[in-house]
Amino acid sequence: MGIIRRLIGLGILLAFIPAMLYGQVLSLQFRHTSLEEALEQLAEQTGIRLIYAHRLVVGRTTTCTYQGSRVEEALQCVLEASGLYFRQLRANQYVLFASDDTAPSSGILTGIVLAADGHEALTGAHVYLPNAKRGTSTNTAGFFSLVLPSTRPQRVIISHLGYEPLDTLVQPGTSPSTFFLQPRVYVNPEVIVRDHNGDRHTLPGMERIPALLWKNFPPLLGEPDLFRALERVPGIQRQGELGGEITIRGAAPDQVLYLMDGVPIYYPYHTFGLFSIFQTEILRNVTLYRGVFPAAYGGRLGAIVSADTRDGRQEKPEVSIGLSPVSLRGSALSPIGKKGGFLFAARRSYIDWLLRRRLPFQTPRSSREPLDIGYYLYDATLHLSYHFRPTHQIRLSLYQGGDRLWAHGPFQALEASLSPLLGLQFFHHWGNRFIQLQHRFVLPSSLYWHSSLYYVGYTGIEDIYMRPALTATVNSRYEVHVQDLTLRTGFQWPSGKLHSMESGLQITYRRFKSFLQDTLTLAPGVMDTLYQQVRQEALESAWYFQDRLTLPRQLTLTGGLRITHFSSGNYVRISPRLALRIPFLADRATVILGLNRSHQFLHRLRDRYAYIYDVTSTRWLPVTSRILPASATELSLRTEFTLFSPLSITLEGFYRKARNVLIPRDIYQRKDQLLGPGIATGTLLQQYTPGDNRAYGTELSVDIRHPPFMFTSFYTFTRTLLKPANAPRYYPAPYDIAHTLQSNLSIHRERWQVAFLLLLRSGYPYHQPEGFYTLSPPSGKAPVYYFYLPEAYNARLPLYIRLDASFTYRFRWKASRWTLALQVYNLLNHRNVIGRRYYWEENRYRVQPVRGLPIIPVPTIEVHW
Amino acid sequence: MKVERYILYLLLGLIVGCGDVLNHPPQHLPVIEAYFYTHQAPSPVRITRIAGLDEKAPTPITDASLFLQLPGYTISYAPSPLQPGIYLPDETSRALPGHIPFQLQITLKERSLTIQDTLPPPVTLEEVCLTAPSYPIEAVFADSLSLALKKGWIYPVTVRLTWKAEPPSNYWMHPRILPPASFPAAVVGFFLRTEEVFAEAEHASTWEGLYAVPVASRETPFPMHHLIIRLFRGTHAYAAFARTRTLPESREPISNIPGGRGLVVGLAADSLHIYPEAPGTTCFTHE
Repeated sequence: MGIIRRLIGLGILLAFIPAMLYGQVLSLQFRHTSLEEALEQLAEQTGIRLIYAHRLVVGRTTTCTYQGSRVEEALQCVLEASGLYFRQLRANQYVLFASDDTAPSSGILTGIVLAADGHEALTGAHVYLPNAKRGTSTNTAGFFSLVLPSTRPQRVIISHLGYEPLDTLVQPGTSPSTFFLQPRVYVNPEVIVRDHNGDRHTLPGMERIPALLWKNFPPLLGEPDLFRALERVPGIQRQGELGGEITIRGAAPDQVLYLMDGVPIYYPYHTFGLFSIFQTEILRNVTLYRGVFPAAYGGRLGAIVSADTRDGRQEKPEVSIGLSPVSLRGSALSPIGKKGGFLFAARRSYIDWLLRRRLPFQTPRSSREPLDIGYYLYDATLHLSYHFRPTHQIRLSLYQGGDRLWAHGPFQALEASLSPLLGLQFFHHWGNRFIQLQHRFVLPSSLYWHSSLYYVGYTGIEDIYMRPALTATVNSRYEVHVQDLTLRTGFQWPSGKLHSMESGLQITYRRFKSFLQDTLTLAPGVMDTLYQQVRQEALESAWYFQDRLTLPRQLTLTGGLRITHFSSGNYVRISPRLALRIPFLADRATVILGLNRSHQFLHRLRDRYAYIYDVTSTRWLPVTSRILPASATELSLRTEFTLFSPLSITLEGFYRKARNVLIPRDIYQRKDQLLGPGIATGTLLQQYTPGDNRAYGTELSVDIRHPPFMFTSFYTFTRTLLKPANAPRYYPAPYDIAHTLQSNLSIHRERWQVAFLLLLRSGYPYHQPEGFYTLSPPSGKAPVYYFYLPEAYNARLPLYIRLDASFTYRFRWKASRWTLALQVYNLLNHRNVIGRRYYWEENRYRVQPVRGLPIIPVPTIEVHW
Repeated sequence: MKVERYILYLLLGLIVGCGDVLNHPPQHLPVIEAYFYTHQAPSPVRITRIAGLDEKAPTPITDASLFLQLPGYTISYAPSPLQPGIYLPDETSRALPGHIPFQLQITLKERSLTIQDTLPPPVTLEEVCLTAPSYPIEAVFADSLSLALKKGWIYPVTVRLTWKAEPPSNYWMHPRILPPASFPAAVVGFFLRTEEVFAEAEHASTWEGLYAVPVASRETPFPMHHLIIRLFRGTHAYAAFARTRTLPESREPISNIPGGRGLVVGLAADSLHIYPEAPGTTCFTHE
């Protein structure tokens, strides 16, 4: 028993006398009595529970006489002259500690938080000191550092969604501690994604969302998707009804940086924006930064979405297979030995397998001839990790994903009488890939050091051949390649009682290549050709520094600086970041004020004339001496109220002004010809003009969690305005949505879940003709009727209303876990107006509304082994 | 408490301080239309106002005063008594010279406008050559978004225009073929070239276009038809208009009227009416 005591170093005495003795008269009298024995007697009399290290009391004696009713006084008497002190941990519970002169004077707690079932690092775990009302969260390696109010042992609570909270006592030390969280047996798949532990946030606009929640969202067309869940965060909108790229707080899609395990993804969408490339089953955490970015990140003006994936370290292998109407997907995670981990995940859509060569085309002859037409998306991820010890790990990651769309065959397949020489062949492929080697190490001095080397590439290929007449052909090949090679290293270090600093360096070599070869033959001898190649390179170097300063009255000031040099154009830009966290109303509310400056050295542009190239690809242009970097300054504010459980309210506001963003020069220009002007950089830039972008808004969200009910609702007001360089004033951006109200309600039981999502938002702005006039072409006779179109958006589409629902049932069968779900899109079958077309008919104008999708029920099935 | 009060004020301001405004009141701008041709008498000028969508026709402006100013002399305009909104020149006997600037001054009730442009040097079609195959060519007839295809037969006709160049030139050329009817199939329509706008300096003094004549079958002989060939030389203002005038439902043509719509430009033009009746290559001139 004694050996165990020494090994554990911690003794816990349990009092069996009921607390009814509490308040009764205590009578203690010790004379050179063993301290341990005196404490036991005190605990026995009072019913209190004492926590202390056995080494503190062994060999010590006490002399004390006390008569009274106050426990603390009695305890003080017993500990008199022993050199020990006590602190009340909770009701009837006291911890004893020594006035330890040998303890480190730093008062800093550093550590790594790992999952107990597999030692996988837990990103975004909250580490909280309840007595000091101070907290932080872990980084992507599960690492944290926290300033303690004193060098004495502290109660710390560590929590992470899906894991049992750890409530323990820690002693500050020089070496990082390792904390293991036990997974919860049962996880409530909440619909709410907002992270309301924001009192531990130090940056406004930041949301850290555990992927465990995101996987359980009512998916889009049965396909679990990260971006679908992102839409549940205030300020995030799709550009289209169903799909479309994401805008965040009025930031255009190309102003948002997407990171997968820290690697930038140039185009994070599948199926023209319908789905994201992130496979939810392997996501570990997703962090969204709006407002103020950490100094470690840069290169975009609007927002950062950082997704971290699992590394496969767990106790036993796990295999998961899912089938949705969109894709077949699977993942396998397995330990390799005691220190390694393996993860492989892949998915592929299969509609082409079902429909390829089986399309029943209806023609006048009822022909059922085949035409090879298809589309699929795919993703594949492989991770290999090795942990030398919990604080020292290395990981190799590979990812490849993309979309392929093709059709080829003779028109004869549709109309048998046509010549087999007439036909169409096109092939479009676009996607991303990367390979990354990461190394993370926590030194005994609590310095967390991380390094990574990665290559990331984006490729877009558009190949088309068409022959609609025996004498007419078009033959075009267009390629876009973006390649980055990056070396990044940095550290985090709790440098003192009040400071926690991090710094790092990033060097990226970027290469941009575009290629176009077009031949348009109108008739024998009448031919147009375009052959253009564009190649650009740039070296981007960035150094950053960030310090979090703990001030009196629990104020936290986070200041950062990022200095970037971009070789193309030789630009040096300084990006300061500042955030101040102020608790008030007796710590039941928090205000975080932020100031952020950011720069963007890449512009995403698209040709606005040609039908046959630059259709599905994404082309980025680096800044040059002629193209200035875009820059933005943003002020933001976040306020959180947790007035009483289970209600929490968050109010955020922001104002961002960006300069030198590229805006289409002619907003009415649409692709309307085959060949277009080509892909030369100057030609493309002529279609755009630099301008300013202004966005501001407020976001109010309410969160009520009262199991089994969960309710969240938010209202946002956002304006996004653009002003080309020579325009007299700002006008609304195409994705300007003023008002949004969204509510989520879910009811969850052990096996089943019902969730509803109600969305009401302003319609998108559009150009409503304000009149008409007629003009005759030169030497022409019949006048042409033209709509008088405003220079700026002058109308909005009607209110958009949609109610989605999902019904989920989970059960076990033959050692496997099954999930059956039915998602219903647009449950009320309300056909929203998502566009309006104005046209002329017999010299009278007509309006044709474009309707949104009707009700779509989608069943899905998923099984886990 | 002071800090907390300021914070609450700020929050209240955030909630109530924003509004959604799309304030662009409709305007009834003037629409002015005039093409002044080199070596021709001054053309009439048409002035109307933009009509509301529910009106039947644009409202003519009948009380404007107009002057066409050329180097050395001025031509005044008066409203046509028969055609409201049309203004006729008081002098029609004198042809306008080429290669000179001009300005049209218009005084409306609410304001005055001055529109400037240049009369380009004259242009002459020297030769127009048409080449058509002996037999019709098979083609796919389909709308751009329809899968319902039809087999069709066309005579693709290549048109080669030649004109006398005007070096050094800052002018723009606009050759245009007006076949008897617009081509009915959108997909093949993309492979036709019935007009083009380009800078004269960047182009040889020839242009090749293509139109198609649909016929019923492979055995149908080349049908005789009426074809109009037009060639314009104009300034950048005209080129911008000509390039953007073809989609009246989705965009407005670029105008050179400050604070209004329409176009006032100088043009040099030539045209040829021809009646092709046989396949092979046939050339036409003014003679």
